[in-house]
Amino acid sequence: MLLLTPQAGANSELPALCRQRWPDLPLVMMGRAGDPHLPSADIVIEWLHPQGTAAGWFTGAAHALRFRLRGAGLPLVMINSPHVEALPADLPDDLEIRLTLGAGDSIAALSLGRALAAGALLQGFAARLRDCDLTDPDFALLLTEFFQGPSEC
Amino acid sequence: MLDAIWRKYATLAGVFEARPQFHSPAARSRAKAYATLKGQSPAMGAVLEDLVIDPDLVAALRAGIPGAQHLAYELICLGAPVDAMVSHFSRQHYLTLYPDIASANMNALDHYLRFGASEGRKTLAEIRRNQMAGTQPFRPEWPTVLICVHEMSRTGAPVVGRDLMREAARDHNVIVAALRGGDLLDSFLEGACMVVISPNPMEDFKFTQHEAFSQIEFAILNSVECVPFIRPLVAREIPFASYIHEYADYTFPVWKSTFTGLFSDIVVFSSEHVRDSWQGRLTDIDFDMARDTSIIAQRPAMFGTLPDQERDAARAHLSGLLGRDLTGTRIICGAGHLQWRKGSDIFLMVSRMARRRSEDTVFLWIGAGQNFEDMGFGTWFDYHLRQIGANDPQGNLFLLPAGDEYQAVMQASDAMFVSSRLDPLPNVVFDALAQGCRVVYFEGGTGFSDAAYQGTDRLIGVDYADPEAALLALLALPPKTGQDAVPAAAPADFNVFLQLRTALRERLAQQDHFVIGASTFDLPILFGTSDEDRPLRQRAREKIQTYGRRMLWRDIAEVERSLRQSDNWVHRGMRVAAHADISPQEMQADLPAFSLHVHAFYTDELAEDLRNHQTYHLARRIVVTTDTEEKRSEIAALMAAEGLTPEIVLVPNRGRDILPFLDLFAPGGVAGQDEIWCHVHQKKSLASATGGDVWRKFLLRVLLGDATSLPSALREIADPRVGLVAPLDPHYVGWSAARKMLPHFAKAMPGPLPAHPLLFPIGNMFWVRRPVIDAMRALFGPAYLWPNEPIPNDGTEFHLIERLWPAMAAQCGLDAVFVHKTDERRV
Repeated sequence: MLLLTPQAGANSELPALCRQRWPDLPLVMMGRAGDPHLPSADIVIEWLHPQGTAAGWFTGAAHALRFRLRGAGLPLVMINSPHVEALPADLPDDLEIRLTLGAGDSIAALSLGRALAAGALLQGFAARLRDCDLTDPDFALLLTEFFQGPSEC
Repeated sequence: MLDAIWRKYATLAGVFEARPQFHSPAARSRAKAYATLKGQSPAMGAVLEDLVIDPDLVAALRAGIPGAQHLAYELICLGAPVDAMVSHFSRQHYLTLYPDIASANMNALDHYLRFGASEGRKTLAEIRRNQMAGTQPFRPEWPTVLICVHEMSRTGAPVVGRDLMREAARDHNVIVAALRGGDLLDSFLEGACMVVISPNPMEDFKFTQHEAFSQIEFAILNSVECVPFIRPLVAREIPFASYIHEYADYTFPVWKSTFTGLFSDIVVFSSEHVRDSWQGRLTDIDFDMARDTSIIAQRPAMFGTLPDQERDAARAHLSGLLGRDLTGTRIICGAGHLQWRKGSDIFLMVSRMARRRSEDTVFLWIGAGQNFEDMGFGTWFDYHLRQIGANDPQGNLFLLPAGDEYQAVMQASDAMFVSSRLDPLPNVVFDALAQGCRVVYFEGGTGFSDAAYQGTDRLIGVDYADPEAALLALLALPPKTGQDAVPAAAPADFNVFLQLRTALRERLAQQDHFVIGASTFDLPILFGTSDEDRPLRQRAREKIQTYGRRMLWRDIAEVERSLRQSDNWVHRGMRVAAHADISPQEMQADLPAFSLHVHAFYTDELAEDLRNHQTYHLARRIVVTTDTEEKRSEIAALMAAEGLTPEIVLVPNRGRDILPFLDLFAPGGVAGQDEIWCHVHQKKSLASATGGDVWRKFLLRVLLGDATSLPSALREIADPRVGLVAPLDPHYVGWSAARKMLPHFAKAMPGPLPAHPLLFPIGNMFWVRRPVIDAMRALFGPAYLWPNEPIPNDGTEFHLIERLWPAMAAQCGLDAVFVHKTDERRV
């Protein structure tokens, strides 16, 4: 699975959770250079760009891994940040995307919300972005296990 | 018909909606331009027709359909990618090839049609002539591999490349690319589905048309000389293995091995011995030898025997050619191009020594390269041959030109003497072994010292460059017979291509660390400095950084981390600091007394330097070294014009910029007891390097500030705990060729020198305290035998000194501070 972690601060426990919940999946972690949690992954992708969209993160990761995984693909992508501005519309159909939210991530702060409102590009994958509305029990569990309290979401 | 052609390409170019017809009213001004052009150059129609390759358009032109020429013109004017699809003309290629036209802001196609064709300027036609379809069909279901060779001559590495192609062609589409053609072209065409010959693959690969070319899965660069292929491979992100046969000792310029190490996904050597020779150069770029290299022998040792009858028949044949009866003799052969590297002269000497020991021993050398006009070798070799009576039927030494007699020589010989000074795994040795010969070679001179070739009595190593030992070993060998026991053969399924492919795939699959993005220092390594090349520069750095190799620092944090993580005593004394401009008023209270040394072998830029840097005017003393009275007068006048009174010392032109500086500090020298010095120079070795002027300005800016402000470097050196202050260069430069001198000088150090210096005053300009200078002088001692000019560009004592300044500071218990100014242009 690919764990995209744009912000170093919230990564301390997520890798362990991922390993616990998906023990058979190799953990690929993509984060900012210098993020102390990166080395805990099986495969590390350092991101040097000062900024970037989730689309950039995802395609960058997929690109880096193309020889490493040799067509095996990524069954699951977890984005550990609400600051998602866009995702590529042509993601593989069998790719499952999860978005984790942290305490303090208010709806108002969600770039995701802005992006969803923004348009057509997101509609291609919105149905698969199932955790963002908190209706998925897995995701709710994830939240209660890992964050100080229920988020404003 | 014309409209259909237009629709096809205009749609591709995204202009069809706006221009549904090439001669539509909307394009009236274009039609006028075409008519004007035709009026100016009536012959352009024929030139235009010669360019067109689209089959439908060619048919229309041949049929003389009205408007066909105009359509051809409009299609080419659409630019990339359409121009190169319908014709042999590419605007991009033409302007790249002829920057004069680009700078004149001319329409490229118009220029070609009116002038370029008659001036003989090139189009894609020439490139495409060198892109040949091979005999093998392209099979979409097969993987496609690009095999690169530097040339197609019938010599070592190209022959290995041909064999690789044959192995690959069993289950791969093979594209063969070469920088030059040669005798093996037909062989390559036979096994490949496409062959490309291009001296400039980065440009030319853009215009390949064969469908296989877009399907390349991986590549093999067979020889370090294939380094020009690295640029297009990195640009297109095609993984590749470099298969290296050449020793680093004779791989020049050094950047060939550096780029091979930086960008290859895996570097495969043909022997351990060759790999050992690359150790230093690869260490300089933090290349992980254990992880990223492999050994795959180009051929296994296949031992054979030859029936006595065939041996005797070969001898009888050669006897007729040479006029010397070879019956019952002991024949020692040598083979290869006549040159120092092959030790052809040593072969001659051994034959001469053998005369006294064994009258019936005959030496035969087969190979090309005998040229008495070649002053580098052939002149002296030719004289040598004449003096010792070579090719005299009564003598014991014969030379045969390379060619048809090769097989007979191998068959007739009892043994081969590999007299090479340095020769990886000569193919001729494998041939000799297959014909039942024993082989005597110099240990340390070839890859046959590897364990893979040991354990038989067919390969005998003797002390390096010891002709006596070689002769004794040769004379001790039994004669070759058809009854000789054959050592165990290599497995029949030995397949070098398969091993290379497996090594590459396994390496790619192991990668668990990737780096994506633009690092702080965006300097050219493989690609140019233009904005257009920025994404390619980033791509190159991503690949280097992903593999943990280094040619540039990533950012200042990485420098600090590297220093922090090192436990070497030299590195522990280093730190980095940011540059700041300080006003003279602000600095006044802290301004230390300092002296400036300028070595001015050239004086061109001295006046500008004096104007550009306030620091000159605050120095307690300025000492200038130069080498002639004329320059002394010129320098005195230049400085006087700036109100400066230097002390000018005449010195011999020896020791680049640094020996004149060190000599100031000899007992009774000009330097006196001054404590703080800045050393700068005007040497052309700096200014003549690529981007050298910019580099020099960078160094002076950090060391001397500018016309109104002083540099923080001066404040750093004022700290009594600091012994050296130098600009932090974004480049990561290792010991380079000076590495070979380290063992000698390391003995005088308080601890081992690091595997990589990490930082040193690249360019040899710095602030320094007196004890550090004294330590450097003491390291070499007062009677050191310095080399005279001209000296090589690397690897001398002076290049070592440049790298040892931080060690000298650390030895004195002082820090070395490297000042960074990331916004200052470096290249």
